[in-house]
Order: sequence, then structure tokens, then C-alpha cells
Amino acid sequence: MQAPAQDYKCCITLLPERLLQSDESVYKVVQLANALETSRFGDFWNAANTCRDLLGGIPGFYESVRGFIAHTLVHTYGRVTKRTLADCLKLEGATLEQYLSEKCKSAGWSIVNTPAGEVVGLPKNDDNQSVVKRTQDLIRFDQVAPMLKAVTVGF
Amino acid sequence: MGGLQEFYTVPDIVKQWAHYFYRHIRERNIPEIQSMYEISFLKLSDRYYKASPWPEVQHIAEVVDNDHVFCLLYKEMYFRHLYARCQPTLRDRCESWDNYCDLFGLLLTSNVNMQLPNIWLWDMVDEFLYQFQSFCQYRGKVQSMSPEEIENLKKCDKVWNIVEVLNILQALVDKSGIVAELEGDGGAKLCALEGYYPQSSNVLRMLGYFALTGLLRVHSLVGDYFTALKAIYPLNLHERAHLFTPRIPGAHITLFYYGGFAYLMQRRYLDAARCFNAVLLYIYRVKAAHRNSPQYEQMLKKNEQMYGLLAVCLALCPAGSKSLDENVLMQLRERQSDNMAAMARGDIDVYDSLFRDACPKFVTSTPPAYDQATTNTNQLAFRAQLNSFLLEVRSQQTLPQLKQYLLLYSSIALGRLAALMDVEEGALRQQLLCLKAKQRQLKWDGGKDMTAGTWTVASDLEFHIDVDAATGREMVLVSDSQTVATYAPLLAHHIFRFEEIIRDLSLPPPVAAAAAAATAAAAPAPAAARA
Repeated sequence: MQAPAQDYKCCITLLPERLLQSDESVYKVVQLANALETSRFGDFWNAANTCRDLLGGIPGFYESVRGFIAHTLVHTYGRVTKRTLADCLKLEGATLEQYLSEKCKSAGWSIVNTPAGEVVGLPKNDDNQSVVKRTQDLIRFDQVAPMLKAVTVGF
Repeated sequence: MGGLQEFYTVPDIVKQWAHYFYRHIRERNIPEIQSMYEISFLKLSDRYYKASPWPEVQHIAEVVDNDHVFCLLYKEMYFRHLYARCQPTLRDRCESWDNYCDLFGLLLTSNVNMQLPNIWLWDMVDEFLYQFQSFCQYRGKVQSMSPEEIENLKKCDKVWNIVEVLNILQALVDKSGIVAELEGDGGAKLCALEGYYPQSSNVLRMLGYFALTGLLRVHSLVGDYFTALKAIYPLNLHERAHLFTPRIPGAHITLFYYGGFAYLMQRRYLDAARCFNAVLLYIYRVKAAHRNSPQYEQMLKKNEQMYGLLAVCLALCPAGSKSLDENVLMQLRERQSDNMAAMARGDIDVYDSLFRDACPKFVTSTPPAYDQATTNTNQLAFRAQLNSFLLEVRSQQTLPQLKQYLLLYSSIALGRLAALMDVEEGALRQQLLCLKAKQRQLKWDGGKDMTAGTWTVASDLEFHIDVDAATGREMVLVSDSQTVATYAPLLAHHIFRFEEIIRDLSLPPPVAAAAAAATAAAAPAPAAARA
């Protein structure tokens, strides 16, 4: 799966409408994609449960979907509660622990203990930190050049 | 003699026109050909053939030595006039298709040595695709056709078949070697010589150049936007230094309209806004010069459509307005301010109506099922694209409201924000994730391939969610963006304007100067005489 790349969007505009409604599997795929695009991960996992046989036939589907979800989470959250993480990724208990430990080793996640429970710290990037942006309009040389001619004409 | 024999007389002046036209083409006299093509043809059409087709090719063939190539070219103009002024029948459509196949076949295979005006070559490609679109529209109206029409249509399924059309365009591109040439020097030589290379024919080369635009158009009509943008390689809409199309307004506008539209449908709103900005500036500049040309209305219509599309781009991605030019922004505000306000509120109907007005006439890539005579396939093609567009719009519908709330705070607990907005915490988390995801877009940043790009964040609002280490509460933290105020660009702009005004004021007006000189000369003379 190539999200957030454009492949899905390229193909969906090519399909005729009646195919979308008549073919069951195409319809399911469309629903899944819509859920992922709008970040409704709960709906996504519910829909995915109903067509497990279809998805099981695609190698690497669940891993890449989880990769995409993790990617979205990394860009939004600085630190995320374990509960939220579990809901989004649909992993529980031992599998969740295993996933987390893998990520901690490879992707720089970390586990922080807080009074409210365990919290997972996600790697820092531009999107999940408070960065005070100072934007400054710069002035280009070609805007200044005509002025210099006018201003220095007396010398 | 039995039966009615129609004596078809071709007016002498038309015969003369054909004769001279043929001679000029043979002599490669480009300015003459262009004037006869643009001006005389239209004048004669208005005078003799306002609502009827020109004489058929056999009636003027003897005036032009029955030259095969000229007959094909004449038939091309004949059919173009027919489509514009009269209603073409199925037979006309098939004959026109055959003519185009013959004409392009001839140009591709044999080595023609003539030079034709570039505008004619562009019109050829443009008309070819317009007739293709028109045929698809005609074919799609299954419900209003009589049974024998349907029978006839079933027989000619090769006519205006999309695969054939694409093959012809691709063959033109390949045979003319235009890709290699443009890759080599970026089109500089083409621009300098306007395609009229001495000692060789410009026909195939320019047809290849225009066929690139044609490929973009056909792929966009079917909904294959990625291929459309890949097809105009090595033309690049973002690096416009050596683009030849600004000389021919129709070509330039078509290229940018379809390019921008393809970007829009791929959710690359920043790139789409840049394309529309470029072409709207162009139209703004050259509008006055083309007021008398027959394509003026078409230009204005496309102008309106593109302002609509630009409004949609900005509604879906407000950060795009930073890259727009002042004039374009001003015009946009004049024309589309109510629409933009409605879209900011999340009104889907406005998106719907703007899309309907501004989108091209999509076609289905397959012929309709003639047996189910209840559908109008043109509507199907259009609705498929509209629905996919509206789906994207709907997924962003709740986001403007969320943004309004976020703008008010620099940090707020998730629970509190959920209570304020009257939604559940889970739904709020999902909306925040969605907002973040939608802000990331592909943006072109260099290189010849228009489909490449890097992921950038296109937004005016930066935020992130963090869990407070001490208390374990989730907080939404909105980043502050401070602009350091600089007055330098503003002052520079005003200095420049004032310099211009002073320069204009100090120029002596020409007529008054001569009169003043005369009176000044006359005044000292009597003064000297008196003194």
C-alpha cells in the first residue's frame, strides 16, 4: 500500500461508477481507503474485520497499514498515551508490547512513565514540536536596484 | 436527362481564394498563408457560407491541380467550418475521422516539405480533439437516438476510438522527435525560430509539440491524471523560460488549464494554484490584444472557469494564497468572494456548482452499452469525477471549524476542547489527526518531471498533541508564528511607483511641445522686432 502516495487516488478516478457499486470487493476497498484518508482508524478496523479473507490474501497489508497509521501518529503527537496507540493500531497486550519494543529499537520511540499510566514518546520531528516560526520577508536585489539609481544620481 | 441534376456553382471569388491559397502553400509563403487562413477564410465564410458548409472538395479540385495534400488540408478546414456552423451528421463525423487519419498518416509517413503557419497546426490538433469530444458526447446520448442510428453506430466502432486517437497523438510525438529536441536545449531554438527552421518543414515538428498538449488533454478527459502529467514531459509548466505556447493563446491556455486541473484532482493544491496563477496572469496581460480574434470568447470563458477552480484550490488549502500574484488575488476576490465565504463555512453545494461549471467535458473510455438505452454515459463519466471530488471535500468539511477553535488557543487540554466543540474525545482525536494529514501535500520542487515532488506542510496553522509528563493529560499545543515586520519591500515598491509617476509628469507632451516651440519662436520674433 502506497499511502500517503498517490497511487490510490490515480486509480480511483479511472473506475466507472457502476463498478464501484456492483462489485463487492471494490466497494469494500473504497470504504477502507476513505476511512484511512480521513483518519477514522476505528471505522477502518471495523470494516477490515468484515473482509478479513479479502485482505488476508494481500501480502504485507496489515504491516503497511500499521506503518501508515504510525506515520500519521508520529507527525501529530509528541507523546501519545498507550490507550490511544492501541486503539489506532488495533494491537493488544503482548503484541502491542512487542510492536513497541521493535519501534523503540528501530525508530526512536521511547516509553515514559507518568502517574496516569505509560506514555509512549514519539521521535521528534518538525511537526510534533513547538517551533516558534519567525518568518521574515526578505527583499530582493532587483527590487532595490532601481532605487539605488535614483538615490545616487546626485553624487 | 432524367432526374434532377443540381448545378453547383462555386462563386468565382471562392475559386480564386482556393487557387491563391494553393499557390502560397506551394511557395511556402508563410505570412500570406496565415492571412488567407485567418482572415480571408472567415470573411468568405461569413459572406457565402454563414450557415451552410463550404463546397465539397471535388468542386474546387480542378482549380488546384487536384493536389492530394491540398485536398486533405481543405477538407480539414471544411469539416471544421461544418462543426462550427452546422450540425454534423454521423456520416460527416465518420468522413472527418477518415480525413484526419489520412492527413496525419500522410504527414507521418511521407516527407512533406511544406511550411504551414503554426496557428493552423495548433488548430488542427485542437479541432481533432474537439471532434473527438463531440463524438463521445453524441455517442453517449443513447436514449435519444433512433434504432437505425444505433445500428450505424455499432458498425463504426473504430471511428473516434480513444485508443486510435491516443495512438495518433503518440505517433506524432514520436515521429517528430520533439522529446529529444526539447530535452536537448529546453526548447530555446524552437522559441527563437518559432519552429520555422529554414530548409526543413515545420509541420511535423510543431504537430509533435502540440500533440504533447493533446495527450495531456485526452488523459485528463478520461480521468487518468497521473499519466496526463507524465505525458507532457519534457514540457514543464513550472519552468516556463522556453515555452513556445505563449505565442498561441489557445495552446497556452489549454495546456495550463488541463495541467492545473490534473494537479487539482490529485490533491496537489499548491501546484495547481501555481499553474492557475501563471495562466491567469498571462490572460490578464494579453486579453486586450486579442479582443478581435474569434477565440476571444473562448478565452474569457476559460478565464472564468479557472478563477472558479482557483477559488476551490484556495478553499481546500488556504496556504496556497501566498504564492499568488497581486492582480490575480484582486480579480479572484472580485469574482469569487461570496463563493469563497460559502466554501469556508463548509457549504458543499458551492463546491458542487463550481466544479460543474469549471470541469472539462469528461468522456468514457468505452462506448456505451447500446442495448441499455436509458443511460447517458456522458453523465456517468462526469458524475464519477464529481463524486470523487466531493468525497475529498466532504472529508474536509468539519475541519474549518476545528481550525477556528485552534486559532484561539496556544494550548488547551484535549478534554476541554472536546467539551467546547461538543464532540467526543475520540472523534476529536480523529479530527485532529485528519487535519494534520490533510495539511501534508506533494509539492513540485524542481526537475523536469511534473509528477515528482516532496511532501510539504501546506498550512497556516501548526499544532501538535502532547501528553503532559506530570499529569498525564493530553494537550493540544498550537505553535506561534511571529512575523518580523519589515517595511523594506513596501517602501521599495512605493519608491518605484513614485519614480514612474515623476518620469511621466516630466515628459513634455509632444503636440503641445511643438506648439509651445512655435509660440516660443514666434514670441521672441515680435519681441525682437519690437525691441
